[in-house]
Amino acid sequence: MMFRRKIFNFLGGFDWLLFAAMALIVVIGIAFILSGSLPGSMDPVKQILFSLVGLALFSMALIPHYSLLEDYAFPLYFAVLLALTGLLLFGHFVDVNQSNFSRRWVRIPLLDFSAQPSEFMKLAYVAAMARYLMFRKNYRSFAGLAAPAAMTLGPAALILLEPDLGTALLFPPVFFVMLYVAGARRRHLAALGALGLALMLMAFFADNITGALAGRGIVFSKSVAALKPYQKARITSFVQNTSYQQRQSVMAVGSGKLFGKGWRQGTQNRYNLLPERHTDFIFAVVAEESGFLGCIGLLALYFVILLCSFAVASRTSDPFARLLVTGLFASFTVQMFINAAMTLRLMPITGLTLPLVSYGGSSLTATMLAIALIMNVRLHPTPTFASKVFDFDET
Amino acid sequence: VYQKRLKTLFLLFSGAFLLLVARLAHLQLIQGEDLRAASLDQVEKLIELPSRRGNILDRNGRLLASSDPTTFDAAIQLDAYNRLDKKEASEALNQLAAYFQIDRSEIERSIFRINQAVEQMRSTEKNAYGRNLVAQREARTPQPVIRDLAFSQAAPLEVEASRFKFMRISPSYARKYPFGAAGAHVVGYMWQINAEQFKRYRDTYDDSPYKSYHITEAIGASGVESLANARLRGERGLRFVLTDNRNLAREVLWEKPPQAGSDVQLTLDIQWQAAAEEELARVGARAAMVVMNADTGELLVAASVPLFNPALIRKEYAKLAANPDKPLVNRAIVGLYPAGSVFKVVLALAALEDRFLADDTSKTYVCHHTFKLGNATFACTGTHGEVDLFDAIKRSCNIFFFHLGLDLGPGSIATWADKLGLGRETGLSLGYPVRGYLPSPSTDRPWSKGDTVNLSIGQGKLMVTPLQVARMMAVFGNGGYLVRPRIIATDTPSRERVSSAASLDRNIAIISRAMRAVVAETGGTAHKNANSTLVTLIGKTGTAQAGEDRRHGWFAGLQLDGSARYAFAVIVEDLTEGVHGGDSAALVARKFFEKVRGGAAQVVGQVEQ
Repeated sequence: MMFRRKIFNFLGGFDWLLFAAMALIVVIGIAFILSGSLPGSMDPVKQILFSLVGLALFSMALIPHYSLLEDYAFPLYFAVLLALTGLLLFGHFVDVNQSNFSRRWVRIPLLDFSAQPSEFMKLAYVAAMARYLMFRKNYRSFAGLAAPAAMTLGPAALILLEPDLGTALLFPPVFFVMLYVAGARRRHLAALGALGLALMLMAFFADNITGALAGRGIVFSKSVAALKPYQKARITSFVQNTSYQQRQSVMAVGSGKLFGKGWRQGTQNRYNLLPERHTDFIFAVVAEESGFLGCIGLLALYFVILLCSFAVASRTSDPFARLLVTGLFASFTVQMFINAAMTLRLMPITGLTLPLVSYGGSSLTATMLAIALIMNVRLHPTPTFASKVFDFDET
Repeated sequence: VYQKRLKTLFLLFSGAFLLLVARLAHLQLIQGEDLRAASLDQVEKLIELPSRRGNILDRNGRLLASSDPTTFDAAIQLDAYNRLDKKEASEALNQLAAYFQIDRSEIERSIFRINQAVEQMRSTEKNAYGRNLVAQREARTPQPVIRDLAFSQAAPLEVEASRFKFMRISPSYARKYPFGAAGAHVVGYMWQINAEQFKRYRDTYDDSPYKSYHITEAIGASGVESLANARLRGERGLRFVLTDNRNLAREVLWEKPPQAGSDVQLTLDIQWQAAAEEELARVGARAAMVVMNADTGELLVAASVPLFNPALIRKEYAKLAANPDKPLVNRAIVGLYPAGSVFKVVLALAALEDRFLADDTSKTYVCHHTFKLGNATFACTGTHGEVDLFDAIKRSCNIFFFHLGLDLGPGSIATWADKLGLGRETGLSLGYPVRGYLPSPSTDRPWSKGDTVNLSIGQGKLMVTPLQVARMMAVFGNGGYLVRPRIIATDTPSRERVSSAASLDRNIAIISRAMRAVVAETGGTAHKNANSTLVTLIGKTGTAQAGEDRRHGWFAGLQLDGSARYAFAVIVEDLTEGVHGGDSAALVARKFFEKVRGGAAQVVGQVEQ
């Protein structure tokens, strides 16, 4: 009797709206992977299998209390960090698209597939940050931000070296969001932001700077911070609107008009004009084939996930849970935004997947796990004894 | 503070969503129409499908010109090519040159020539709109750069289309001329369209937009190729396709298949033609012969030497055009010559029909070799003594016809010359319309007696073509009809009687008898060379003075054996001293007819190139 009530209470906390939104997005993803892949491709089938695996992981991740993650956050973080380092040392370069090679995948022995540690780093990073920030107040001082900054730069640098600029760029926004929510001072965050921006500009103009410094007898190694030529080209081509991929994706999006050309009827999609159309540019396929209405629908589903996550973050009083949930939905939403913005030519091209929609097992399962963790927080309410968590003055 | 910051964050994220929605609305709702057009523009392509040009056949169905469908053109799309930057273009050309194992400069020259042609065509347009239209249309159209590729060369390139996005392999129909130079003057040749023709035909040709011309297309430039171009051309097809990023067609939305051109059958007999050309080439550097069916006007031979090979015209044109012997000219149809003594049959018919002479023996003049008119002295070919009309034709006595001409008067001579078709277009549209020149006292003033004397023996301003002379001779073989010569078998025959007088048949018979004597009787001017035991020829010789020092030899008449009667005219230019029309030209006629009609014929084999 007690047991049954327990189960009922447990399931009563289950957010069906959040789950439905996630499931629907996954189904939409599979539909457009089917539309975007070549006939005879196994990718749609594989994505269905990935989603089933994701669903299993999702369910399993609901059962233990999330505080377990609190305990294992640091070991997990370092384990994935180790995996990323190993990848750089022993990994093989794999063709990402026509000319870019990168070390992103780890072959899983016995099972015939590869996993992308960087996808799981996103989770481990958020958990570790939440664990680190939960009870401390030293991030209220500028010097206290050094440790979280180091925790961010470590994985970001490793991922950048793969190279995978897109995923690496995801870490700074999550870092800022988590610190902001935890209560860091605004001026500290602003100063850090300015510093980061300066670094990015330096990376872009590394060639020019090196040249200028060399003229004055100063040696500046640009290999540390410089952008790769193709990465730089993406930015210049964005500014000049000469990027073939973005011109094609904008044409695909715009040509969808209000109702779209119909599922599997997109000419940009079917006649190979869109590059990377079942992975990074899948949003363009959705836009071309389902039009403005379809896009609004998809964005609405993402917004539902965002709303539900906010509700969870707002309701819980456990500092770890608060930071965990905020970090997860920030990572999720920022990635979605960057992907869509790149497809719509609001931003330069960065190789990022559209979460839950793009083809890719690691991305899909990691994202589903992230949502499972948010759900987990909702299912396991924790009474806290500290009355005023993160209650600092607003400066 | 936590809740407050969470709320701020929520607003920030909602703002991001709104930004995406706004951008989507901008692209899909505001720019949607344009972007859809741009997107379709990338994939929708209209491909022109070339039509097969019709064959040209001789009267027995032998192929004189055919279109071989097994070759391909490598064609360039200028718009795509011009989009390449310098380095890409240069690299692509290197690869192409290596692929076809030709010199790179050859491809560059082709492209340069296409660009030049586009420029030239553009400059003929009056306004900017027209100039743009031409430039755009021609830039979109694949223009052949390397022609006549074998399937084995073309197929791999088609597969590698992505490497050369600006190239397209299109089937082409190479024009083949199985008999080579034989009959080339009649069959004609193809030549790239010129600016003036392009302007005229760029929108429609023969009232069909599917026949309109592009700048690099070849158009029938001479002979039947030109005359029957509209029928031979056919209609090109169109295919509306969706292409992918490699420019390969993935889906056909709509297609209008090309329509092959019709075959055109000629009245020409290629074996006769080849025989005539062979005989002509034997007697002179420049010569011509026409043979027509006297009753129907069908041309069986329109031979002219020197010859040229239509298949090699592209390579040899400059040489041929510079050759003083003018091999490209069909002398048989458009060559203009003084008629010389051949014209004497006109005076004979005029005298008989005007009843100035009752018959061929009723009146005589005396020939003392020379004829004085005022201060001028005219000479005869011999000293003939007292001659009547029969003798005068048989022995070609000038003095007789000087007297006869003066007695008849120039008006009557010009009238009958006109009735026999001289100084008039023949109605054959091969080549260009030629009238020759028939002087008459009403137009050529002042007219002197000397002019009459000159005209009486076919000299002076009179100019005729071999075709006109053959047609004139046909009148004596078909019962008095002036026929319209024709070269295309399906053209309807037409003819008119030169005179409605009842006496015409009798007078024709009288003159024919005299022309028979020219060949058959001792003393006839063609007796030595045209008399044959195999064929029956009648005719009139002529040695025409052209200017101070040139003499051309004529022999024109009829071949009478069998059911059909053939009128003919032979001209051999620039006789050597002491040679007359009765020698070389008559010899050609006899040899020719013995070969094709007399059973002495060894069949002329098909000349394979």
